[in-house]
Amino acid sequence: MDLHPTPEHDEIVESAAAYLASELPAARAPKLTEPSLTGGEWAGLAAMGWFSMGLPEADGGLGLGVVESALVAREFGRQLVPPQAVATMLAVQLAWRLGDRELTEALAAGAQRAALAAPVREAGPAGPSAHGYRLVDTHRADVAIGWSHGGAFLAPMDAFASRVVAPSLDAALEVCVADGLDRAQARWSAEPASSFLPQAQVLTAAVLVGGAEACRDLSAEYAKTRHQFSRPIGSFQAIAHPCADMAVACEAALSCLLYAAVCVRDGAPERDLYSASARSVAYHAAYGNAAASMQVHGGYGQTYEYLPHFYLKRAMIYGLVGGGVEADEAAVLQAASLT
Amino acid sequence: MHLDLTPQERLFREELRDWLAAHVPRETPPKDRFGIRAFDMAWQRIQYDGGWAGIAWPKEYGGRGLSLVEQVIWYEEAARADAPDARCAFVGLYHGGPTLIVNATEEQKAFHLPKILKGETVWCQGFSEPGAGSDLAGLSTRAEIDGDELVVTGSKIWTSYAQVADYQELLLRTDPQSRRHGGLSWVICDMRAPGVSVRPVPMSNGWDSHLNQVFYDEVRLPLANVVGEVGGGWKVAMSTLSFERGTAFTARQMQIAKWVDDLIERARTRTGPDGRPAFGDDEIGRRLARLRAETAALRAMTFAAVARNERRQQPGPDGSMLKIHLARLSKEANQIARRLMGVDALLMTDEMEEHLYGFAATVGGGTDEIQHNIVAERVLGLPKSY
Ligand SMILES: Cc1cc2nc3c(=O)[nH]c(=O)nc-3n(C[C@H](O)[C@H](O)[C@H](O)COP(=O)(O)OP(=O)(O)OC[C@H]3O[C@@H](n4cnc5c(N)ncnc54)[C@H](O)[C@@H]3O)c2cc1C
Repeated sequence: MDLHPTPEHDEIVESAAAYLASELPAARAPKLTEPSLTGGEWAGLAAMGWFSMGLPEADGGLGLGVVESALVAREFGRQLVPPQAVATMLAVQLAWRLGDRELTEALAAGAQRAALAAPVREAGPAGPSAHGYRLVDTHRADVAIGWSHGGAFLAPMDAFASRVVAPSLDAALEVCVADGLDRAQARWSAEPASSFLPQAQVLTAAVLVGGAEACRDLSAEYAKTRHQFSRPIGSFQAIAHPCADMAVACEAALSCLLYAAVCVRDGAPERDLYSASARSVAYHAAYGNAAASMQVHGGYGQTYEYLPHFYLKRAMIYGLVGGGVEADEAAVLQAASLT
Repeated sequence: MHLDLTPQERLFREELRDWLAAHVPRETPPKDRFGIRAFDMAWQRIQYDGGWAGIAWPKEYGGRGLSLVEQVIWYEEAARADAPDARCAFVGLYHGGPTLIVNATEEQKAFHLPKILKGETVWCQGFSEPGAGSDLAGLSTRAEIDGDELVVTGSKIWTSYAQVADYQELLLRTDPQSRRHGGLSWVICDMRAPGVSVRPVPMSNGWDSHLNQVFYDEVRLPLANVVGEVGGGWKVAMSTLSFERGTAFTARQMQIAKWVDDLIERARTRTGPDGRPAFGDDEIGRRLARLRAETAALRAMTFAAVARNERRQQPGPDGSMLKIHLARLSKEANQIARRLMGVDALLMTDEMEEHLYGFAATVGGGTDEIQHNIVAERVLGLPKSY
C-alpha cells in the first residue's frame, strides 16, 4: 500500500500545472468576453495530449490510465479550465468503449469538443430520455455527453431538435436549454457492463478536488494579507479555523480521490464504494470551500471580480451532472451494504 | 405576557390587509438601477398616500406615531401580500431615518424625514471602505473643516444603490490628529454634490446596481449636515448600526416564513430527477420541517425583541442574535431552494440570482463573525477576542 504519487505522477502534475498557470490561469475567468475556450486555447490543450492520454498506445494514446487523467483533471479544476476539457476526456473514454474509432480519434485529437449534458429526468434502462436537457459549455461543442447510474450517452449536438442558449449560471460558460433528443443518433452504453461510470465519478471528483484546493489556497493567502484591526484577519480564529477546515476537506477529498482512482485502474472490489464516495466527498469539499472562501473574502467575496464564486458555480455544475451527487450518495449506501 | 392584539391593533391588521390586497403592485420589479428607483419610490409613495408609511415614526414628520407592534404587523401582512422589498428605500426607512429621529436636529429631521416617507429621496450608506470593513474605526475618508463647510476626500465601497441615491450616511474623519473611534463625524452627504463619483461593482450574480464604490474629490458639504457632534460620529454610527442589525431586517424576518411555506409547497408538488416529489426525499422533508420550526422561533424572537425595543430608545447588542439567526435560516432556505431547482440551477434565472445574492447575508450589515464577537462580548461579557 502506497498512496504517494510516483515521480512520473509528479512530472505530469508539474507540467500540467505549469502549462495551465501560464496559458489558462483561473484569473482570466472574470475578464472573459467570449465564453469557454478559443480555437487556439483548445488546440493547446489537445497538443498536451490530455484528451488521448487515457487511451492504449495502440489506439494512439499515451497508455496512461485513470490515475494520471485524474491528476490532470485536478489541475483543470484548480485553474477553472472550462468543463469541455474534462467532458472531452470522458467522451474519449466513452467513444472508445462504444467502439467508435473515428469519434474516439476526433475527440482525442481535439478535432471535436464535448459539452456536458444534464437531463431533467434520469435515463431509463433503455437509454436517455428524449426530453428536457440543460447543456453546459456548449460554445463550439460538437457532441454532448451525459451519464447517470444506468448508463452513459454521447450525442452530436445536432441530435437535439431544439437548442436555445440561455442565461448561464456561470457567465464564463455558455449554457443551452435543449429538447427533442433524437435517440437514434445518441450512442448509449449501459452500466455496469461499460464501467464508464467509475471513470466519470473519478474525473469529475478530480476537477472538484482541484477547485476545493484552489479555494483553500485563495483563502489562506487572503487571510494572511488582508488586515483589519491592524492585524491579518487570519489571526482571528473565526477565519483561521474555517481555513483549517478547508484544508481538512481537501485532504479527505484528495485522499479519497487517489484511492478511488487506483481502485478504478486496478478493478479493485472496493471500486464502486470509492468512486461514488470520491465524488460525494469532493463535491462537498469544493462547494463548502468555495462558500467559506466567499465568506473569508468579506465584501470582495461577493463580487464578480474575485474568484470564489466561480469555484462555487463550478462545484454546482459538477455536482449536478452525472445524475447528481445525490445519486452517487445512494450508490455509496448500496456499495457499502455489498462490501 | 400575552399574544392578544388590542382592539386597535386588530383593526389595524384588518384595514391593512384590505388595503394591501388593493394596492400592492403586481408588475415584476425592473432590474436596471433607474427602473429600480422609479419602482421602489412609486411603491413608497403609494404607501404614504394611503397613510401606511412610517408606522412607528413620529407624526410630526409624516409618520403614523404607532407602536412597534403595529410596525411588525405591517411587515407581516406585507410579506403575506407579496409586497415588494424596500430595496433602494431600505437605508432611508430602516436605519437612516431612525438614526435621524434619535440624533438629528429639528431642521435636519423636518427636512429629510418626510421626504423619505414620501418616496422622494433615496439614501445610501457610506460606512465601509476598501481598507475598513469589519474594522469600521479604521476608516480613512476625511474632511477638512473650511469655515462653515466640510471638504471631503477619500472613497467608500459596497455602497448599495449609490448610483440612484440622493443622500448618504457618510462616516468620515474630521479630526486629522485622531485615531480609531475619536474624531469621526456622521455627515449627510448630498450625492449630487460636485466631486462625488460612483463606480458600480458587479456582484457574483451579475447585478451591477447593488454594490458601488464612491469617490470623493474635494466634495464641499455644509457643516450643518453633520448629525450629532462634530467628532462625535462614532456614537451616531453605533446608533445607525443598532438599527441596521436590530430592526432593519424585521421585514425580512417576517418574509422568511412565507418563503419556507412556499418551499414546502414546491417540495410537495415539484418532482425530482426520479420523477417523485422532492418531499418524498427524507432529507429534504426533515430539513424543511426543522427550518419551518426555526422560522417560527425567529418570529417569536422578533416579537420578544419588539417588546424590548418598545422599552428603550434604540436596539441593543442583542439585535445581533436576530441577524445571525436570520442569516442562518435564509442560507438554509437558499440551499433547499437550490435542491428543488434541480438542473435549472445551471441557469441564471431570477431565482438563481436571488440564490447567489443570499451568500451576502452573512457579510452585508456586518459579517457573521463580527456579530458573533458582539454577542460574545456585549451580550455574554466574554473577554474581547481581538
Ligand atoms: C451585499 C452587501 C451590501 C453592502 N452594503 C453596504 C452599504 O450600503 N454601505 C456600507 O457602508 N457597507 C455595505 N456593505 C459592506 C459590509 O458592511 C462589509 O462588507 C462588512 O462589514 C465586511 O467588511 P469587508 O468586506 O471589508 O470584510 P473584512 O472586514 O475584510 O472581513 C474579511 C473577513 O474577515 C473577518 N473578520 C474581520 N475582522 C474580524 C474579527 N475581528 N474577528 C473575526 N473575524 C473577522 C470577516 O468576518 C470576514 O469574514 C455591504 C456588503 C455587502 C456584501
